[in-house]
Amino acid sequence: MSTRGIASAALAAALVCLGCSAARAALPQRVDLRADQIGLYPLADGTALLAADGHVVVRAGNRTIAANGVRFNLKANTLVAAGDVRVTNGKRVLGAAAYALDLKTENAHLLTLDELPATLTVRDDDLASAVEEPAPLAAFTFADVSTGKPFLRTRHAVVTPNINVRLTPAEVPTGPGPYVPTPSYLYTFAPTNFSQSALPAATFDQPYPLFGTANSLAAGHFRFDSQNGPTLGFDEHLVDSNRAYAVASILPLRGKTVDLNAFQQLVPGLTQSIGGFHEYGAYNVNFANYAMQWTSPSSRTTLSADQFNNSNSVSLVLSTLDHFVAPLFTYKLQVGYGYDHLPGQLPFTNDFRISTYGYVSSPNARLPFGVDASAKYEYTITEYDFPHETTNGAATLTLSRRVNRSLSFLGQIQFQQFANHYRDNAALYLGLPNPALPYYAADGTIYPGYFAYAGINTYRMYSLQTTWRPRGGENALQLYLYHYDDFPQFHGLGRPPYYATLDVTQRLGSTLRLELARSYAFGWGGTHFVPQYSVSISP
Amino acid sequence: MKNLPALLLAFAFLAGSGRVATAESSASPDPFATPATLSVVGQVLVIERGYLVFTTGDAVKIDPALTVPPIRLGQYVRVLIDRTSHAITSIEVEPHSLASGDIEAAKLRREFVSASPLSRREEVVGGPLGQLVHPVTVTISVKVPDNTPSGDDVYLATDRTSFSPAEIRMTRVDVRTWTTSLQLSSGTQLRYEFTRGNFATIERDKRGGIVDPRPLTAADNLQTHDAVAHWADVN
Repeated sequence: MSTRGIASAALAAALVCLGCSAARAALPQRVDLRADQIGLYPLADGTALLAADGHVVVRAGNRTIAANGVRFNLKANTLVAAGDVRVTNGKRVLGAAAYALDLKTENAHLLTLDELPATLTVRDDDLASAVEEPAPLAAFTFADVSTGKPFLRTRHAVVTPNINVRLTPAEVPTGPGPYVPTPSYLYTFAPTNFSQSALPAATFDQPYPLFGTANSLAAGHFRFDSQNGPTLGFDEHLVDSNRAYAVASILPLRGKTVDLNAFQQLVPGLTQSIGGFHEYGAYNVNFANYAMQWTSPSSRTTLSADQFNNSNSVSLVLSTLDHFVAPLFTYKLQVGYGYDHLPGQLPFTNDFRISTYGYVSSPNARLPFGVDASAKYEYTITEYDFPHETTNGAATLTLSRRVNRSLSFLGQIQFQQFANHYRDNAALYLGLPNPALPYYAADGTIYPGYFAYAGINTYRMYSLQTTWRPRGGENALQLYLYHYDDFPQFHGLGRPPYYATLDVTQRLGSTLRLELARSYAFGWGGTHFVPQYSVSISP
Repeated sequence: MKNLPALLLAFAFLAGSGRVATAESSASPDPFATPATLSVVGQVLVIERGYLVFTTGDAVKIDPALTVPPIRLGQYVRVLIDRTSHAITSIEVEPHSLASGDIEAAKLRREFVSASPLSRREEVVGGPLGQLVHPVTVTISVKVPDNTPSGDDVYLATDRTSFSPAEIRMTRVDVRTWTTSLQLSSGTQLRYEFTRGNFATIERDKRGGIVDPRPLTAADNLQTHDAVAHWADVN
């Protein structure tokens, strides 16, 4: 393309952009609502409505609307004012019984009840050019919210069209139900996907948006998790449509942590991400990770680098995607090459490794008595340049049966072997336990079976999950039973031989759902019962 | 806008004690007792200067003898219109339900509407019926990839908690399928995505890109069947 051609194209692009700006400029930058009472209602059709009642005054650009009631559709940017409506737009003044305005087009419909009811179409509130004609059926319509409970309540709302609305002061709902008064609340309705997060998981998280634009959102979080109890968190989201985001967060009080998560899709299939955290409580922990990934229709390549405190590693992993060989099985193969610096507590500083992984799994097969069955085998072998090799093989059989809409069972049997081989007496050189010598268990006794240990750990798991969910509803009772038969399996170390968990999910109200779990370990480390609680609260 | 009448009527059936005002103070209201009146249900736009105007823009005269109860903008009412005088003789605020004789305000015959000749719109005929707003149970099922770590649980994260990654732990149905049920009001819009308990384990699309949260509109016995293409942390 010639220089002149490029200049023409650039000029055309600039004009297109100017055109876009001009179209957007029709919307006022802010719309200010004051009333005796304003409620914000997210609606079933995906829109959100501000319902203002009593001495309502709306200011949008040069226009001021006074009325007894106003309904403002935040996504359509349309408003309906009714009851002693008075519109002032510069020197133009309109009086009406009702007034419907489209903020995007400046077109309005006026309803007057002078001698006979009449509807007029006006542009820019200019009565001189008003046309009396039937109003469209939908001109004055909006959703009825009079019987519902608002999501937020206030007396003053400032709307930034297509982005957010700030309510000052506001009464804010909490997940469990009651409203909490607060000086200000920002409700975002921009189409931006702010679902990304950098905060650790919590059993309860009530966000409180603080500041925002179309592409950013800063929020506080009232949180509860079983490890830290009630605490506060803050995060800041920066989002570029669905291609990139960066989220930073901090938990400043308990479980003190600073987190960062950033992701970018460079082109379809090629992504890069960076993430990390810094724990700064009783002791410092640092972790950082960078990864670049290319996904083609048949394979995935990942180059990643990690740092955990003073240990580093770099890996290159090539992997097939899941391949389904209909109707027999699904498989996947993966090979990786990596470098580690200060890998764990071992007395050498660097190693190189090659790992190979693969799995094969069967589709669900229907057996007699309505039982579904599926099997999977996976195997990993990692070879280090130091004479050291680990292998990990696991076979899993899953059986499930749905008795009826309320009752279902899921059983699993898993055999796994993890082998840790050191050749040429490398284990002794590293100061690791010699399998030929007795090994002392946690209680001080010699662990008798250790003489047979040749560096291979065997893990066996048998589990049964019973779920009772009356009529397939939200309330549920779940019982998990596990039996672990491992080698070596010390008393008090490793997995307990028997383990049971009872989990109850119950809806307690329209905005509160409680999940309570209690677990027991049996015959483990001389203890019969090791009770553990976990609680989960959600809307 | 095709579903507008259904949408409007969906709000008409919410529970509440309907209040009735009539022009005949001693008579108990029975909207279907006499063919002399027409029963119309609709949302109120404004009541001024002796007219009740529905949000359809149609104005109907009010019988001067009728004491109009307080009505909020947009509230649903059932009005009885005298077929002779074409005036409203009774107003019931927030009626419990639609009756077989009720007419939607959008379909009110033109002879009962007061309007200047230039403002008269054409009559609307037909259209869908409204539905109740009521609690419904929605079941969300998801199929996870074969390479999902076998000991991990799958969680549902929704916009109700700003996508807290461990909001609801799902129940495993078989080797790859997880499910959960939510009780919602019909029509509720929800967006959701799947994780394995923290944000590092969120789902990605086939090519590793961000997954837009899935939209859901709650309805009777709604069952969704989704699939996770790829986890962010699994190669």
